[in-house]
Amino acid sequence: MKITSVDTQTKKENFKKIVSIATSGLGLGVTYYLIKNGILNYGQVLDLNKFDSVTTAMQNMAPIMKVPVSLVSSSIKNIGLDKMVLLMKSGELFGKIGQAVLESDKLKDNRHVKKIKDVLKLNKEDGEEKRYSGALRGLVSSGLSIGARAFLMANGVVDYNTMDFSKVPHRFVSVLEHAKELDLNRVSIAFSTLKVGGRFALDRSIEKDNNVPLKFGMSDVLRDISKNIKSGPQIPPYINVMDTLATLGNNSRAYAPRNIPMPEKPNDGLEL
Amino acid sequence: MLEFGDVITLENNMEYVVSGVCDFLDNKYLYLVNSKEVSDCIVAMYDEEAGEVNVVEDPDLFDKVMPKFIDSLNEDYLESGEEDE
Repeated sequence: MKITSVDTQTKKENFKKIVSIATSGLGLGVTYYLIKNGILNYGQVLDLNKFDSVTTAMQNMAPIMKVPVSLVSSSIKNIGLDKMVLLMKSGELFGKIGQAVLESDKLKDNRHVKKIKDVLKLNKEDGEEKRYSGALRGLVSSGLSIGARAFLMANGVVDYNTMDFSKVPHRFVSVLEHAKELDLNRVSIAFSTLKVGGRFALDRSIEKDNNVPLKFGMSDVLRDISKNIKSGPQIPPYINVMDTLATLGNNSRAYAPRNIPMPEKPNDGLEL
Repeated sequence: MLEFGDVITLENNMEYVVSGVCDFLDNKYLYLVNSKEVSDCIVAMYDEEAGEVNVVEDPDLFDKVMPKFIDSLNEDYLESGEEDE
């Protein structure tokens, strides 16, 4: 495809925005990358009995993710059920982090937390779905940026211990504060998973335009994704989880558990 | 030569941000993110001489190239960038 123009100036004039877009985009790629390679630390918490048909799960996930859809749909077939479970566990993890944020006294007046609470309280009156959709997408977009950074740290591309936190966006530090019981891998996966939720929400918006009844809510989104993944019979018996994890473990530099020191710098509130 | 952060417009009038650049087997690859819709991502081979990008459609090639974008990301970009609302 021919390139008709190149703009090298905008990045200088509006660099922050571009970085946001770029890291969000990276998050999408990272989402795919994580799924393709698996995240080892989740091995102990996998509950494979909840999940079932690999084929069904793959078929349902491909159109939701669209990362880039043609490639995912063709290559995702070999991912394996355990990675799909990891993805779902990530959704659960995000819920835990989000709950801690919402219950925090320190952040109760934060505008983003208020926004989340407003979203959760929305009823189904006319017009509110649209507002919710916008709010959700905003949160997803912010989450993606965090996810990209978290992944880079967890993956060793950026060394957490040498990071100057005065330069790190506060939102990232804040999230870490509320996720300090978890390791970076899990935080990164959780936020990467938001991409799936965002895509799903967007699809539902499109459905709404086509007069298909719309139902929104973060829990609804995650539940619907879960439903897509969980349909069908029991897991095929040929999947040997422990062998799979052992194999993956031999190749794991990136996903070893880490003891994460928290920065001493006080945070000025969550910036989701 | 395109680099991280450049904004390009393709012949379909879609605008993409160069979000990653890497080399693989003597070819240059770009990770492009639609400037209006971040879920629209393209991994493409960049033909500088022809001024063209060709979307990677081979899953095996995609698997090999994708990690290289991450490896090549300069952490300076991350440290200097604050997300906006």
